[in-house]
Amino acid sequence: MADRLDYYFRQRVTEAELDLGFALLEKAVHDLAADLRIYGVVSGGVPSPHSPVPDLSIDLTAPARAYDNLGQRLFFGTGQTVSCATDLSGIPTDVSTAGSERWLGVFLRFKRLLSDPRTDGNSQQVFFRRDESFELVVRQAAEGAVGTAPRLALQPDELLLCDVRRRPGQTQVLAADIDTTRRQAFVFVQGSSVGVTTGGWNTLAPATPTVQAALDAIDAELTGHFAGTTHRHPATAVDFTPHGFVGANTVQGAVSELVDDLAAATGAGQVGAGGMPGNPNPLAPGTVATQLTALLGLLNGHVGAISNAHPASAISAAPHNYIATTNVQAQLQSLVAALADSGAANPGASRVGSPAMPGAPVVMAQGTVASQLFALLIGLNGHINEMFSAHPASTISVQDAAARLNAGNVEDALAEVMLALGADHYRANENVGAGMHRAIHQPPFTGTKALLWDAQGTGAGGARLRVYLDADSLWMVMNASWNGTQWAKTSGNVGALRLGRNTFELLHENSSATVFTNWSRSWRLPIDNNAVNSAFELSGSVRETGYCGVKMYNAGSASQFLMQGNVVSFRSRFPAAPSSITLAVRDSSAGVPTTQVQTITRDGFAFTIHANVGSSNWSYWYGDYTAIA
Amino acid sequence: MPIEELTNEDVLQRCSACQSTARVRLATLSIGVGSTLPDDVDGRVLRLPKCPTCKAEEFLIRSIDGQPMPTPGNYAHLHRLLVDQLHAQLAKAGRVDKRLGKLKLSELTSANRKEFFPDGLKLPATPPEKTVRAL
Repeated sequence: MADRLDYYFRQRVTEAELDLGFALLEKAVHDLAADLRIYGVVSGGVPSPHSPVPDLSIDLTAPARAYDNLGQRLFFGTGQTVSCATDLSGIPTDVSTAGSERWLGVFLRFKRLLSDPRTDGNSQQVFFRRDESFELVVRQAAEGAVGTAPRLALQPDELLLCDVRRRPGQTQVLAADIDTTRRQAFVFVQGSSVGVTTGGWNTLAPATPTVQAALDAIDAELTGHFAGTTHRHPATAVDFTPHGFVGANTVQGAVSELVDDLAAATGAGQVGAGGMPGNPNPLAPGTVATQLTALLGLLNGHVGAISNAHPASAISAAPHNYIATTNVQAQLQSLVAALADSGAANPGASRVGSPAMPGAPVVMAQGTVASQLFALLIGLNGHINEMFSAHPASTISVQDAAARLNAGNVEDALAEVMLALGADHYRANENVGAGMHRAIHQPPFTGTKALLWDAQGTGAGGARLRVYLDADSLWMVMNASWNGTQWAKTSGNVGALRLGRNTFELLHENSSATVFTNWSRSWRLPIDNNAVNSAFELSGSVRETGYCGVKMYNAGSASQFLMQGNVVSFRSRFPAAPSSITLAVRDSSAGVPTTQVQTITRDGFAFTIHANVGSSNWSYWYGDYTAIA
Repeated sequence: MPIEELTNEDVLQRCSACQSTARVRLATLSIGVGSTLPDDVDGRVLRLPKCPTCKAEEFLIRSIDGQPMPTPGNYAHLHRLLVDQLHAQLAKAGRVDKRLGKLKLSELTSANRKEFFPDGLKLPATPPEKTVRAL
C-alpha cells in the first residue's frame, strides 16, 4: 500500500533516508483516506454557549475526532473554549452598526506538536517528536444587514465546526447565535462510489447503479410528488381516521361522504355556526340548520305579522297625483289629511269619485262624493221645505230593530203606541193632564218577589224605596233590594214595612252584613183570627222605657209597714222576659220607699214599693222603667 | 242599665239612665228580691246597687228553662247569657236570699264561652240604647 524503501546490509543510513521511510508510510495512510474521500468531524466538537455564564466564547465538547481533506487526523481529548471576541489575527469581531450582524466561522485544522528537543551532530537543536495535533481558528466575515450578512467560504484544509453570529452591543453568545447547519460532518465515502442493485425496483430508475444516482432518483420522485407533477397519490390511497359523522377510512371516501352528507337534507345540521350578535334578534350558537330555522321563523313571523312588522316610514312609495311624499307613512298621512280636508278649496269629498246612480224620481249623476252630496243637499232641502205633501206617515216604514212593535209603518206605529199609552194614561186630548195615570195594571211577574215600584226620591242613596209583592205580602223596603234569594243592602241600615194577609210588620236591619234574610229587629202585629193580638210582638234586641209608680197612705194612728204594688204591662210583647229592668225615680216621698220588681214576663212585671210609713203620712214613688231584652 | 263585663270578682254595670259605669263586687250582691215578709221573694231577680250618679236601680232577671231565646249572637242573647252566668256564679258562692234555700244553677258551657265570649265575659255587641244615641 505504501511506497517502500529497501535498506541494505552495511548501508550507512542518513537522517533524510530514515525520515523518508516514515514519510512514505504516513503518505500511504493519508492517501488511503483521501482516496476514500474520508473527511469531516466524526464526533465531538459540538458547540454550545460558554458555561456556566455565557460570554463571547463558546465551548466545544470532547473527545473530538475529525479528518481533513488531506486525510490528516485531528483529535482533542479535553473540552475546548474558543473566544469569538477576536479572529485568528486578533482583530475584534464586534458589530458597529445598528441593524447589522456579522457571521464568524469556527474552524478546526491540523497542526504538528513538536517536543522532546535534542542537539544533533551539527550542534543544532531539533525536536525528536512531531505528534499530530490541532488548532481552532476563528475567522470573521464582512458585516451586513440582519438576514443578509455574508458567511465565510469553507477552507480547503480546515473543517468548519459552526457559524457564530455577532450582534451590535453583544456581550454573550447564546444558543440562538450558534448555527451548525454548515458544520462539516463526517463523510465516510462518496455515494457515487457505492453501487446498488436495481433489478427488483419498480419505481426508481437511477441513471447509474450507485447510491448517489439512486438518491438523486428518489429526490426527483419526491420533488415531483411534492410538487404534484408526478406520482401523485389517488385519494383512495391516503388513510383517513374516521371522525365525527365521517366514517370512511380513506381521503377519497371521507371527501365523498362529506360531500354527500353536506348535500343531504340534513347537511346543514352538520355544519356548525357561531353565535351572531344582532338587534333586535341575535343568533344563538348552533348549526347552520338551527340558525336557518331561527332565521326562517323570524322571517315568517315578520312576513306574517299583522302589526309592528315595519314602520310604514321604512317602506318607500312613488309620488302620485296630489300625494307628493315618498314613503308609505307620509303618503297615508297625506291621504288622510287630504280626505279630512274640509276647506272649500280641496275638500276631501272632492277626492273621492262616485258613479252615476239610477233612481226615481231623482237620478244621481256621475261625479265626486262632494258633487253628489251637494246634489243631495239641494234635493233634501227642497223635500224638507215641502209643507204638506212630502209624505203620508203610512209611507214611512219602521225598522223596529228591537222588535217592540207590531206595526210596520209610522202611522200604524203611532196608533199602536197611543193604544198602549192610553190604556193606563190619559191622552193629551182628554182634557186631563197629559200622561196622568189611570189605574195601573200589571200582569204576573216572575220570581219570588215582584218589584212593583222603585223610587229614588231626591236621589239620596239611603232613601231608595222599593215596593215588592210576593205570594203573601206587600213589602215597602227602604234601602235594600231583593236579589232573588235574600235582601241586599245599598248602604247603612234598612227599614221596611210588610203588610200581609194575616200580619202587619215593621222591620229593621242594622248589622254589618251586606246581604241578609233575617231582620235584626221587628214589630209584628198578628191580625188573623188564630193569633190576633192588639199589641206588637217584638223580636231581636229591643228596649222599652215607660212610666210607673205607686202611692200609699197610712191612715192608722201609728207608724206601720206598708206595701203596695201593681203590674206594669209593656206596650209591646217582648220576645222573652227581659234580662234587665231599671227603675229611675222622677219623684218620691221624702222617705224613699224600697222599690222592687218581681214576676217578670214577656208582657210586663210586678212593681211594688214598701216602707214603714208614719201615721197619716204618704209614701210614694214615681219614675221610669227601662226594660231590655 | 245592662252589664257589660263579668269577672270572678265583680261585674261592670252601665246605667241605662245616665250611661255612667260602675264596678260592683260580687260579694255585695245576693239573688232574690222581695220585702221582709216571709214569702215575699222572687228568686229569679237580682238587685244591683243604685247608680252612684243618678240613683237609678237595676234588676237583672235570669231566664227560665224553655223560654224562647233571642237570635244567637245578638246583643239581647249575649246579655241574657251574661245575666244567667252572674246568677250561676252567685248561687255557687252561696250569695242567695236565705228564704230561697240552696240554688244550683247551670253555668255557661265551655262551648258557649268559646263561641260567644272568646275574649272573656264581655259584651262585644253595642247595647240598643247606645245605638239609639249614636244615630
